[in-house]
Amino acid sequence: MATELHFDCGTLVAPTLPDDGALRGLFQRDARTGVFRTAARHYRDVVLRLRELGVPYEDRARRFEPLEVALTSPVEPFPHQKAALDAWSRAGGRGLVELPTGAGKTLLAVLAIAQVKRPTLVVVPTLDLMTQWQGVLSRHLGQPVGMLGGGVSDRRALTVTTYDSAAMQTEFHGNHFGLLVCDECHHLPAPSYRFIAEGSLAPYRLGLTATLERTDGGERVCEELLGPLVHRTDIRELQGRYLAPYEVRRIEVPLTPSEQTRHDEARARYLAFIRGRGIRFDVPEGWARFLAESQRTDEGRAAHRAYREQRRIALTSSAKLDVLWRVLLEHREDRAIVFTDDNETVYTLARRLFLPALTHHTPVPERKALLASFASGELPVLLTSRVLNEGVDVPEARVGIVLSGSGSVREHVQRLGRILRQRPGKRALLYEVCSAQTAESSISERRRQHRAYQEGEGEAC
Amino acid sequence: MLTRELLLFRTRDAKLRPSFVKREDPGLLALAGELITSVEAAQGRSRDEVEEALGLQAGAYARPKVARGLVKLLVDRMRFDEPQEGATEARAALFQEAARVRRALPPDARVEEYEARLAEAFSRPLADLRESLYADLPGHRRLLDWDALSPTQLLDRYNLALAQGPLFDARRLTLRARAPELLRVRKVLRWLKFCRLVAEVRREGEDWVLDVEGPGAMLALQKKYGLQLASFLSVVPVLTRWQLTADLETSRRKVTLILDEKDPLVSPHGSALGHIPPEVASLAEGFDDAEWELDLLPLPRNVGATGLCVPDVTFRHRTTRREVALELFHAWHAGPLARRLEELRSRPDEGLLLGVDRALAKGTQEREALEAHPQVVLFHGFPSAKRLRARLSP
Repeated sequence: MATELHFDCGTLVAPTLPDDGALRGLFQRDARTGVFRTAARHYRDVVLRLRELGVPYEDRARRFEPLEVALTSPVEPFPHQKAALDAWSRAGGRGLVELPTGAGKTLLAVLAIAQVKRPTLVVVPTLDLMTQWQGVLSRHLGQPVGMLGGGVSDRRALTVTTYDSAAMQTEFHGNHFGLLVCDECHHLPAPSYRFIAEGSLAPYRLGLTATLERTDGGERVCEELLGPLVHRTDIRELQGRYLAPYEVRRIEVPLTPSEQTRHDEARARYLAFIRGRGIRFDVPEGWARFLAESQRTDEGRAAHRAYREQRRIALTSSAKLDVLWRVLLEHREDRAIVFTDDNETVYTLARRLFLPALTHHTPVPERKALLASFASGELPVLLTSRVLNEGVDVPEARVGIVLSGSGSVREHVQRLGRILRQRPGKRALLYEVCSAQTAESSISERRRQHRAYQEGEGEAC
Repeated sequence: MLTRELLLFRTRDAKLRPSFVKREDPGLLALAGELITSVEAAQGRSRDEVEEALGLQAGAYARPKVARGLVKLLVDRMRFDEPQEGATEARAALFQEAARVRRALPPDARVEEYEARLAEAFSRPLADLRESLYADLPGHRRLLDWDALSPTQLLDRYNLALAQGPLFDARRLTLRARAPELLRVRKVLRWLKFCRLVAEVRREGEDWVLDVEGPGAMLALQKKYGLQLASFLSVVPVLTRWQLTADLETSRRKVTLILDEKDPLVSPHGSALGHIPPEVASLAEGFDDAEWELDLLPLPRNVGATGLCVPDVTFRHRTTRREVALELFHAWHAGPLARRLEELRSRPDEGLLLGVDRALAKGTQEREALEAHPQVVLFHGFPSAKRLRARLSP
């Protein structure tokens, strides 16, 4: 009887196997069911070995065939894109590519799909990226592109999904795609996301990122699951030629006397509470402990309210609003993205200034419409919290205004990346507005510890 | 389900015990009743308002974390309205008009001037427009209804959720059902199949032991299966006497969760257990002789590469102890029959007989194929003891 391969909830199963050490080394005997079982990601090695042995086998695992797909019109890749594609091809269609934001990672994936001609699953971190990838793939490959996530369940030969949806559904569709593309693949090492690559048969794999390095060494997991790092281009190699030149302007604004008084009082109240209870935010459980203790007593609840109050004053001070208004008027002819740290600020500003907001609450069709109106110039300003931090392509954006954010260097570099897509004559501007004499100043200092910021630094206004 | 920060448990000697609440605790029952009354009175209010009101009630309770857990379970059962049609389009039109006004402003215009021009451009007051601008956000949607339950049922769900939470970090669990009733263990086995789990099932005297895992657990793909293991737990309390242990692996430590029938767990899957059809009882009587015995609690069998079959009965020869399981396929089982035949082709199992209703063999070709199949017994209504006995004899 021929060896049969089956797919079972993210695993590859064979009821019997030839007597071959290499092949049996890939599988484990599953005493629970009496079959041989391995992670689905070993499918490629298993099939290659069976072919090498010349033994008959029946592939009941794979649910995909080569796909008739080609570029709708010729694409001339940039040298760094061509180098990356060549390196990936030489590695057998597996591997990681690290390119700066704006360097054309999506187009590289389009070229990879057109080359390997296999049904492809693209995994992205956010719903906005999902709709963006759908647009790019259908435009360049002339095929309907399905989506899984954000309330949409439409699986097709070319499908885009989010990491969250893929983690839930790989056990059902892990055998339907021959190429797995993980965009912003530095997310993949998270324990709940690894299964996306482990439970997929896809013999071809491509990981894309601007920042592969993780503090926890997770890049090794990416290499194990998607293949080795095959190409890397540094932001400095592309600056000015393939990415727009840029300038960073930091604006520190004072609180009004009344805001400063209210801010200082609230801050003193919440600091007294955490100091009194020995709560420290530089230890892992610090924040959780503050939340728990602040709910137990009236004093704690008051401290929690004070924490929110001082933060709200710093994030939405009247001076910040004035600066935002001035910058927007100054750049009336440009496209500008306003970044804040939380949705509450986004919607407060949206209502105050009648500016469109894009958050994780925005339904997918409205997201698409907003990004299209932004691209056409109909709506030249977008307010957002964190959903545009990563990957979303808004090439027309020339101005970024960071009203608030975390201390994360990665977040700040990604925000800068939103405005660096090259356009003829474009010079990008990133404004960072922060309230003086508040906790914001030190957060701002923390997130600027990256050469991209130090090199593009302009005059403070 | 409860989110991680709402789980309450104690760990001692590497054993984890959920901090179950007493289902007859008057204070908690009163709180549950008040929360339920609030939910019923909140119909038509926005999600933010409902959650804030429930949150305040929870915060005032002596054990706020327990109360917040109850609130979470209630919110999970609520249904909110969908956004009004055209909300997005109206918003887009408003933003476009505002963008046009902004472009026409002089470079030194102040916000107040912008607002004045907006007021001229729109027919409605700016305050109204601001109020309704994002009325369709999830937090602004109105409560339509909810899956109602009683205060006691809410506490039962809470206790179950407390026990389910830790299982998200579990790789496997072991369940011992002590001398279970036939129908109860069958319900558990069917749920096992429904949860797409793999189990090693064995009988130890009158007990049944199930080692339950995700298919990929042996390959360290364990994270994926926590939710399925938690779902499986919800059926376990239908057993009368049982013990469950699960090894939990978090990044910092390894602990064991131990539960049994003395814990206040109640299955939400109802008391209906199904029944033994009179035909099966009659068949059992037909085999009550010296040669064969009938087992109405047969062990599940793995079939094909990935399938699990829960046979209807097992015949056991009294002298040789040879076993033959029988699985019945009635007129509405066309799909499962095709799958089972395919699985038998990929992994033969001589110890399994398929009883197939003739209604599934309508075409001549199908009938001939089924009649020729060495493991198929065709029947009208129910297979007769005589036909089965003939097939069982070598």
